[in-house]
Amino acid sequence: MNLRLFVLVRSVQILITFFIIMTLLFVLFRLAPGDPVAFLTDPQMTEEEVALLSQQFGLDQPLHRQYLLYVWNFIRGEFGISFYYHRPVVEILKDRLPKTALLFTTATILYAFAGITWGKILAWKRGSLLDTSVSLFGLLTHTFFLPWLALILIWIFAYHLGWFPLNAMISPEIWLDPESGWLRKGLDILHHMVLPLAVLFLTHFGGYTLVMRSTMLETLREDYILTARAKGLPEKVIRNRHAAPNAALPVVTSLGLSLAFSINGGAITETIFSWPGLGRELVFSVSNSDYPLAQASFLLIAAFVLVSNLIVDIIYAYLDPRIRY
Amino acid sequence: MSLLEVDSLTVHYLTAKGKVHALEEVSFDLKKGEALGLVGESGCGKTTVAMAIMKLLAPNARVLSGKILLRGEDLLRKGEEEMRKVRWKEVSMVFQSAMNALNPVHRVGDQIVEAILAHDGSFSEEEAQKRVSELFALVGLDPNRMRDYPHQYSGGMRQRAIIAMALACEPSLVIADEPTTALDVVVQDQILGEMKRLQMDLHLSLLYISHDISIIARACDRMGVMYAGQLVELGPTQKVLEAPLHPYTRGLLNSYPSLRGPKKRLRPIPGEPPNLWEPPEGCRFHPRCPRASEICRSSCPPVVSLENGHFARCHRPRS
Amino acid sequence: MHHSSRGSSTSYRARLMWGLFGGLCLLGILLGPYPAQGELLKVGLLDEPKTLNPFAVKDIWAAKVLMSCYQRLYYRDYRSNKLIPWLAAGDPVWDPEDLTVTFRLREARWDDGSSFTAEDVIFTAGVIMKFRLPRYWNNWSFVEKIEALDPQTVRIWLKKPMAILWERTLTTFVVEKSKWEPLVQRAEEALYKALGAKEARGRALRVALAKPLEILTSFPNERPESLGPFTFQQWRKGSFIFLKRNENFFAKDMTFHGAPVGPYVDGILFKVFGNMDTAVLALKKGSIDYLWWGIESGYLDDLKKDPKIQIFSTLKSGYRYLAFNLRRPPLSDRVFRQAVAYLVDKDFLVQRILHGQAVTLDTVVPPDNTFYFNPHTPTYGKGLAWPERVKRARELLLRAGYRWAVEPLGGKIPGQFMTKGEGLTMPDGRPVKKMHLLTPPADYDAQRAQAGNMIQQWLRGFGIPIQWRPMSFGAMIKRVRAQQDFDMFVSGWGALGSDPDYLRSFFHSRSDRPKGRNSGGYHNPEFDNLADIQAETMDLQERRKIVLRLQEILMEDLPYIPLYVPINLEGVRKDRFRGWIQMTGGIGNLWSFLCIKPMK
Repeated sequence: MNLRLFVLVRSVQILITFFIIMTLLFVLFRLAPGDPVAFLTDPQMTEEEVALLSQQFGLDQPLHRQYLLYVWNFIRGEFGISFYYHRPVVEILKDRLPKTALLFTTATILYAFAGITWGKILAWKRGSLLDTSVSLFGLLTHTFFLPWLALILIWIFAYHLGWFPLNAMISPEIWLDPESGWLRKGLDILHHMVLPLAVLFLTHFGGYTLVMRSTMLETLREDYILTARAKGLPEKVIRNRHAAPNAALPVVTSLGLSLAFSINGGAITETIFSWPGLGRELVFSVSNSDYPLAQASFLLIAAFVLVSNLIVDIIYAYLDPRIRY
Repeated sequence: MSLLEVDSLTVHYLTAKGKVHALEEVSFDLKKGEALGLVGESGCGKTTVAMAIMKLLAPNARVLSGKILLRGEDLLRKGEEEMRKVRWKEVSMVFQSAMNALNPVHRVGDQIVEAILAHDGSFSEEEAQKRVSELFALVGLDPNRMRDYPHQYSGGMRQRAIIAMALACEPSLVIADEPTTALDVVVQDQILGEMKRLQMDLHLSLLYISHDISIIARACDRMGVMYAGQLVELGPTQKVLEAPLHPYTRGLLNSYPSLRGPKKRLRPIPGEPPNLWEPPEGCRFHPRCPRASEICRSSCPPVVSLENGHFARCHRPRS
Repeated sequence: MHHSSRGSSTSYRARLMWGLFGGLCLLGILLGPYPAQGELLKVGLLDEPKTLNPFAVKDIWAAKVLMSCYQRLYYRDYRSNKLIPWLAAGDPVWDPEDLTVTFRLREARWDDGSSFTAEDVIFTAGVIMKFRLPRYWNNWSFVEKIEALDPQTVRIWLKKPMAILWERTLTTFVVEKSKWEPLVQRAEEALYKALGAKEARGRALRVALAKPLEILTSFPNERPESLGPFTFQQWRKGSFIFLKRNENFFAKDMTFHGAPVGPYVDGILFKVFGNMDTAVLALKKGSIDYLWWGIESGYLDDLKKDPKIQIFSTLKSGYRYLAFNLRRPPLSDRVFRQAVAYLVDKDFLVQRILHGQAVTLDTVVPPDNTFYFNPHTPTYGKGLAWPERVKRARELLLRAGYRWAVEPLGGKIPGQFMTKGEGLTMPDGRPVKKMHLLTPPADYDAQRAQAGNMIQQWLRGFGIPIQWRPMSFGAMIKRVRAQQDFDMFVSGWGALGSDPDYLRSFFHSRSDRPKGRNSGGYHNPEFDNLADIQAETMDLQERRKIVLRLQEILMEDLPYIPLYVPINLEGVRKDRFRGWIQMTGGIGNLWSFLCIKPMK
C-alpha cells in the first residue's frame, strides 16, 4: 500500500470515528443532568418567555428530531448558535482556536524538542551526575500539580519580581497605545506567553525526557550502534544520527496520543493565566449546558486529535522506512 | 613483521556476579594478506578478541595485560580519538548478518558513504557515492539499490552490503565475526567465495571468527582454536585439521561432520564448557579431557610448539 | 533527517535556548513601565461579556460594561433609593382615566453626534413588543401603544394598569434607532415571511418568532453606541474592553446631592480574568483598581492586611431559602412547616457557616429594597435558645395531633438533643416517611451545602427522617422545576430587582405548573387575590401596603423559610480613586463611576 492510499483509507476511518464521536457527544450531553433553559433564565422572566427561548434553540423538539437537525446542520457546516453568546459557534471557535494553537503548539514543540534532546543526552551520559540530577528534576516537575505550579510561578515571577505579566495574552496599555507597532505588540504577546509556556514546559518536559532516555538506552544496545562505533564515527554522530532517530520513534507516537490529554491541562492553564483560548471556553460551555458550543468544541478537539494522529502516522512512516502502508 | 600481533591478552569482565575471566594470555599474529581463523564454542572469548582489537569492549571490560600491535603500534595505548581513526581505516569489521548491523532508518548507501566521509576528508559527497557504487559492484550488488533501506534487502544482500561497507576505507585488516551465520547454505557458499576472492584481489588480511569449523577450514590459511578464554591451539589450517595437538581440537573435529572423505560417527565432547567466573584450576579443559592427568588438574599448561608454527596449550599434546 | 548535519549542534541549541530565556526576562524589564493612558479606572472582571447586544444580554459581565453606554429613562438615586429622571426630563405624569403615562426627554447626544429623541425610545419599545423579546417583553406586554407627542415628549397607553410600569417599564434601556433599524428590518421581514398577515398565538407565534429573534440577538454589537458617561472604544476578545469618557455626556453639568457629576476618570479599562486567584493578586499588585465581583471570604484576611486596599461590604439583592414541596404530607401542613421553622436557627447558620458575612432574613423581600421590605413579619423562635426552640416546635406539633414514640428534648447548643425524637407520626396516625433535602454540591456553593447538612442534623434529632442529598445545580433545578419530584431544597434568588412583583411569580397558584416558578405548589386564594391587586395598583403607597401584607401571609404559610441575605465583599485600591458610592449590590454602579476622583 502506498502512502497516498494509506492516507485515504485512514481518512475514511477518521470520518467514521468522527461520526461515532459526534453521536456519542449528542447522547452524552442529553443524558447529563441539567436543563439548559434553567441556566438561561432569571427570576424576572415569565414562563412564556422561557418557552420562547426553548423554541428559539430547538430545545422543545423531540430528541430524535434534535439529533437529525444536529447531524444535518453539521453536514452543512452549521454548528448552531451558542445559547450564551447568541452568536454562531463557528465564529466563537474561530476566535479562540488560534490563541490556543499559539500557546499549545509552541509549548508542544518546546517540550517535545527539549525532552528528546535531554533524553538523548542523559542516556548517553547514563549514570553521570548530569543524568541523575536532570532525571530527578524531570521526575519532580512531572509530578507537580499544574495549578499549584502555575500559581507559584505567577506569585514569584509576576507578583514579586514583576518580570512577567500576571495573566492574559496582551497588555491593554500597549495595545491601546496608537504608537505601538506590530513588533511591540508581538513582543508583548511573547512576554505574556513566557509563564504559561514555562508551566506547560515544566509539567511535560520530564515525561518526554524520561521516555526518550529509556528508549535511547535501549537503542544504544542495538547492533547498528556497535557498527557505527566500529566505523569510527564521531560520538555525536553516533548519538544524533544513529541512535536518536530510532529512539525518538516511540516518543513521537506518544506525543500524538498525549495531544488529546493536553486539552485537559490546557483548560486549567488557560483558566489560571486568563488565556482566551478554547479550553476555557470548553469549561464554560459545559458548566452552563451551552450544548452547541460544547458540542462544537469537543468535535473540534476530536478532529484535532484524529488528524494529529494521522499526521503522527505519516511522520512515523517518514522517520521509520520500515513502515510502509 | 606481522601486520597484527596480539600478545598475552588478558581481559576480564566485571559483573554483579563477579569477575568473568573472558580472555587469558591470548597470543597470535597475523601477516599481511593472510587469513586467520578463530574457532570455538560460543562464549569462548572469540568475539572479545575482535572487540579488543577494535577497542570496542563493553564498559565493564578490563584489559589486565597484553599488547595489541598493529604494524608495531600498540592499539591499547591509543586514545579514543586516535583509535577512532584506526577503526575502519585500518581495521574494519564484517558483522554477523543475523545482527541488526545496519541502521534501519538510513539508506544502505548512505551508511557506507558516512564511513568514507568520516575517514577521508579528500572525498566529496559525490565521490563517496561513486565509490560506494563501485564497492557495490565489487561485492556483487546492484549499485541502483544503494538508495534502498536495509529491510528491503534479502539476508544475503545485507551481508554483501556489510562486506562492501567493511571494504569502504580500504583497511589492511578485516575482522569477520560469524560472517555467514544465519544465512542459508547456498548463500553462505556464495559469500564465502566472495570473501575469498576479495581477499586475494585486494591482498587483505582477514581475521575470521566463527563457531563453525568448516567455514574456517575453507577460508583460512591458519587457524586458532579457543576454549574458555584461552587459545588452546594455533597452526596452519591443514595441520590443525589433520593432526590436532590439543584434545579439545580433536573433540571439536569429531563433533563435526567431515567435509570431505568418508562419513564417520559424530562424537560430541562430554560435559559442558566451564563457567568463567570460576574457571577450573590447572588446564581449563581438564574436566572434559579424556587424557587428563594429575598435572593437568594442578598447573596451567604452557604453550608448546611441537612443529614449526603449530602450537598448543597442553601438558600432554599428542604428537 | 537522512542528510541532516553531521556535526552536532546541541550545545549551540542549548545556548540559544538560554539566550532566548534571558532575552525574555530582559524584555519583561524593558516592557515593564506601561505608557500612561490618562487616569483610567482599571476594573477586573472574572469573565468576558458573551455579547454586547442589549437585546440578547443575559450575563452579568456584559451588563457591567453596557451600564455605562445604554441609559435608562429613570434611574435609582443613591441616597433616596428612589427613581429619579435620567434620560427623562421630569417625573412621569400618570393619567388614571386614560391609562396613559407621559414624560419629557432631556437634551442628549449619542456618541455619533446625533440627537437623542422620542423616536429612539419608541423604536426600542417597538422592538421589545414586536418580537416579544425574552426578559423584557413581560415589562411591556400590557402596553397598548407608545407614541411621540413631539420630538421630546413620549406617551404610553396601557391596556390595563400595571405597577411594574414604574420600576421595570420606565427603566428600560434605550438604543439608537438609526443604528439598529436595518437589523430590525431584516428581523421584521423574517417575521413577516413566517407569519404572513395572520395573527398567531402560543406555539405558532413562538415558532414564527424563532428566526427573527435569532437575527436580532445574534448580532454581536461589538461597538455599542452610547448615551452614557463613557463611550465604547475597543474590545479585544478575551483580553480587555476599553471605554473612554464621553465629553458630551448629558448629565455632565448636573449636580446631585450637592456634588457635580463627573466622570472624573478618563476611561474605564475592563480586564478579563479567568479565576479569582490571579484577580486578587492583580488587585494587590495594582494591575486593577477594582475587582467587580464578590471576594470570597478566604481571601479576606490577606486583603484586609494590605494598607492599599479598602474592602466594602454590601448586602446582596437576593437571599437563600429553604423550600418545601407542599403537595406531600406532612409538608403540606402549615403547622409542620412552622415547626421546622422553629428548628432552623438562622443566627447560628450565619455565625457558623457564613462567619457573620450575612444577615438573617424573615421575609421574602430582601432588606435592600427598603420601600417594600417588611421588617415585621411573623418569626419563629427568633432569639430563643435551642432547647426552647425544640420545645416550641414539639408543642406545636403535639397540639396539631402529631405524636412521637420518643419525644425529642433539646440539648445546650443547636443540633444537640438530650433525647432524640423517634417514631414521629402524623395526626392521621401514619408515620412520617423518609424525606430528602436537596442542595447544590459544596463545590458549587459550599455555604448552601453546609446549611443543608446542618438542617438535616437539626431535623433528624427532632425525629423528622430527612436525608441531605447534594446534587449538581442543573440536576437539582430539573428535579425541582421540571419534575417537581422533591421534598425540600435549599436554593437562592439573586438580583431580584426593586419591583416586588416577583412574589406573584414565585407564589401565585397560576405559577404552579411544570417548569413554573411555584414549584412547591403553594395555593392560597387570599394571596392570589392580593398579588393580582398589587400588580395593578399604580399608587406606590397603596401598593406598598399590599406587598407588606403579602409578606405576612407568606411568612405565616411558610412555603419558603427565608434563611439569610449574603454579603457582597468588594475590594478597591485606596491609593487610586476615592468617592466610591455604595448602593444595592455594592459599589459597582454608575454613580461610583460618575463620582470617583483620582487621588492625585
